[in-house]
Amino acid sequence: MRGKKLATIVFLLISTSITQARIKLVALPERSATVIRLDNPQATLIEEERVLTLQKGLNKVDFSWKGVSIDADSIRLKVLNHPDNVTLLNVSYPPAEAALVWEISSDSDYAETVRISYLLMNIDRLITYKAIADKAETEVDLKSYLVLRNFSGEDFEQAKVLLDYGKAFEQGIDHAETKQMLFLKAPKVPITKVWTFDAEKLPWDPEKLENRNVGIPVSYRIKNETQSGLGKFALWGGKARLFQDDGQKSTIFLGEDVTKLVPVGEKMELYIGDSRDIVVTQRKMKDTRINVRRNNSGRVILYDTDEIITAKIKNFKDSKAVLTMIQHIPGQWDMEECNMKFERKDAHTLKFEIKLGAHDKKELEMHYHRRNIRN
Amino acid sequence: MKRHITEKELIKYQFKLVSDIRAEQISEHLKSCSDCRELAKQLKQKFSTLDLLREETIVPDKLIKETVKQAKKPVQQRFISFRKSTGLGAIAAVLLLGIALLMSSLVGDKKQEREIAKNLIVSDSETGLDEGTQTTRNLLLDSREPAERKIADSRLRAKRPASERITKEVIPDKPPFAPASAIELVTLPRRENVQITIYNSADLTLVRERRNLTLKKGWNWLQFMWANTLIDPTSLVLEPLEQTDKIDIQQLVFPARLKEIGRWLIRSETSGKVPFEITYFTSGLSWRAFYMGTLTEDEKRMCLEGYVRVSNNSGEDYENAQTRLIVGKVHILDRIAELARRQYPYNRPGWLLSDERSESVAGGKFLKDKGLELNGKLFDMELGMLEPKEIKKEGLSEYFLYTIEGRETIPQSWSKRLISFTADDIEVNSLYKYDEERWGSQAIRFMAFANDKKHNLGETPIPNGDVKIYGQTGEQGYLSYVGGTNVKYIPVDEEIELNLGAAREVIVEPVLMNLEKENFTFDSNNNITGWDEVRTWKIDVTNTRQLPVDIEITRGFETSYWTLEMKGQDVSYEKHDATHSRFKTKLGPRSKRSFEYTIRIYHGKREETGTNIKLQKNIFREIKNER
Repeated sequence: MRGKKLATIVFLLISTSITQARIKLVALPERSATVIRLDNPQATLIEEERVLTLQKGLNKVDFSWKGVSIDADSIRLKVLNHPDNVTLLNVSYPPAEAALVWEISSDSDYAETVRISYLLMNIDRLITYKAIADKAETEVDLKSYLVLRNFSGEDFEQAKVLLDYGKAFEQGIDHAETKQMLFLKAPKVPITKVWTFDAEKLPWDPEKLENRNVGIPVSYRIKNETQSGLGKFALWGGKARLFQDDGQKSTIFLGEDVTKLVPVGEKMELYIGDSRDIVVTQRKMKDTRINVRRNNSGRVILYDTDEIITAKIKNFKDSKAVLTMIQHIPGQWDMEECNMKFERKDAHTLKFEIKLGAHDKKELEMHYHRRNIRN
Repeated sequence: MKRHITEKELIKYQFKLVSDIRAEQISEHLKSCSDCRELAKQLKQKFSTLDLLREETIVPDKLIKETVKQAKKPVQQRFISFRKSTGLGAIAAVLLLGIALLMSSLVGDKKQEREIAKNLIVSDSETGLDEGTQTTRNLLLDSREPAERKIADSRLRAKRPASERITKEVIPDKPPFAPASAIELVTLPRRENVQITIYNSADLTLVRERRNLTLKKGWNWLQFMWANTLIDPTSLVLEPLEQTDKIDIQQLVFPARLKEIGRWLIRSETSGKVPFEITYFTSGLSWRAFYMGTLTEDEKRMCLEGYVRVSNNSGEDYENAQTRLIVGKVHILDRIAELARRQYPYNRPGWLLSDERSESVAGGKFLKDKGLELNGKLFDMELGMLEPKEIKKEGLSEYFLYTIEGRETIPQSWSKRLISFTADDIEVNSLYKYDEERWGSQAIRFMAFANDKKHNLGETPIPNGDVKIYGQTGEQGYLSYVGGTNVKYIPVDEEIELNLGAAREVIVEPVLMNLEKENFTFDSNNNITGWDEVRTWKIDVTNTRQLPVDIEITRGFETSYWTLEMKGQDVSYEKHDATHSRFKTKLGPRSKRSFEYTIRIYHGKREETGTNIKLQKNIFREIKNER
């Protein structure tokens, strides 16, 4: 701990005769073996070791802090040298103070090493990713950076930093300091490029948009598995920036996205931008009621529909593409005729994988009936 | 008790900037005062461990004058401040290489100083520095006031032996402490190469700079400052271009208390000159496309010129930069300008980071160029005396990359217009559309052509932008302004329809000629349960122009239950979708045409008639056959 730190965590060794007056006779044990544990993104656990000079009998140890935010209920004390001879009796919280007092019983005089643990606010870590795709967009060189942010009010001159995997590393970080460091490097990670048209999210007929393009979202899919050079641990969520080798010893920026935590075996999908070179024009060509049932009053109470949807897909690109098309049919339905294979993702969602050659055109036609619709 | 020496005084003392008498007093005090001795030791460590890299520098005369001027000012103000030095390179990224500030062993012997300077030049020659660089550096050193020169000389003097010493030593595991000091003495390594890649769908530019840095074996700190620019600090990346296996960029530190500063910690197994590349995003540079079309007199053909206009409001001059433009819609989460304005690059814990895809800022507000356009004399000179620059176009991923030939200098607040392409003799079709649901009761004029080889286009997509269409009148080649519009992004091979606004010279008038209701159905109580509504429409189309025109008329029925009949007329129609039909016809110059159709709309129980369903299916099959 440096002299000019903004906050202090002070130990007070108080003789047994001093009670509620809170007149403090202060010894300042040196902080050592500080650990910053960042494995939980919700809170950062600090563990530090200090040597307390304990006297035989009852000792009061005062732990207080200023200018930092510590969850008082999270503070723990562990005796390391003489756990059988030194006993923590109780913890009390003095009024209107950021402090607590431990009552410790010792059977002899010891210079006892204790470990204090507590949750410290405003110190955390972020993860960012940078990926550079090759020109053919088949693989990426993936790098991940750890960003340590310390706005806790406390300077850590040297501490062991622990993540949820990998070895601990020594790192110092001052209050109001941010440090970014490389912690994952995975070259040539295979990727799949995905174009997705979701009929529920995108406009159907570009003609009606009056001079606006419909962008088909484009994503890179990366699998967190050993075959990809990954798969050793879950990839943390964070902002990812994607670039592409332009073949001229330079790169262009493709786009950025935020990924969520990707467990081993799962896929990371990074949305980079929109393609305007694949154009989908979808129209409902038929939507009529059939099998209409009426009650005695002549009111329609039940009917089916007869619906036809066509989707023209044009690929204006010089290269092949596989378009994932998502269609939605609500309620009970059956397909009378469909000119392309689809996978039923759930009761109401159909997924088509449409392979398009360069400058190719295809047309999807779905003729289906929605059944037993109550009026 | 004696008064302690202040930190400021100790710094001056370390730099030999105090009088000899005062120096003696301080020296005496230090012997007796352990606190001050400790502080002096810390200060010494503070500066000596800030590993500063030496880089050959070509210094402009202006900077030399500025330096001399600064040196004459009181010592306290003798920092190089980049906050107000926009021209120099508050830069988009002033790369400040810290230079080892030596605190100890300063020597006042002028003779020895001269020897050191001489040694410097010799050793620079050995490392291959060009003559101009040496001259400039000497100029810089010689132009300074003695006190400042002393610091610089001593720094260099100390650096070389230290460097030599380190090459023989094992690199310590622990990097040296780099203090977050507000006092710096720095050199400015020049940019060897600058490349800017500007996006048009977001306020985003990727800048790539190449600089040669001289590393020493061991730990090196490299400092980067971006005051008064719009650089996104979270995008900063430093990478060596050579000896990548020996150079490890270990971390980027954004120090406490100091704003707009980043420091890279570099572990180097090698010493000497290494080319590095720094990349970052900046805001404030933008480009947009626009077009001018000139029609022939018969309006059947058009010459189309495409331009790009690049504007710089980034706060930085970009000189001799390779300029590249990206056509495409990029997805970004945060506006670069907002990232640039953050107090802390990654914010503080507890601040929400953007993670909403739908809130993409792509396509956001551009910085409108406020500066002067580079037309006038300079532009004329470029186009008149030299060949216009070509723009090389290449597809990458979902983008098109336009690389402007050669290099461009785009000063702050200036814009530059460059020709992107010229296509002559494009066959165009004057198309008029009528759709009451979209445009009311007036026809809209469109200019239709395709972005393909047949139309002398089709090399690359056409970026979205403004289009102005001119017509030609008479042999003198005078122009008339036909109209302007926006064009969306047009991929290769796609058709373009330029909406030129309401047409006064083509009139479409639908007239209801007959209305009948029939086929009523009743329930047991004799209430009506269904009927057919039969309407006969006559559509009068008038072309008052002296040119033939194509006309497309769309009619909506607000229901899916309809059938349509047309008899023996020279007008084609198709079912556009479940509720619309579309008619197409051509009209000669100054001519009229009328056609009729009968629409039968089924209501109530009549909707369920098998005839209706059958007819609908037939129509659908016809449409499929047409395709």
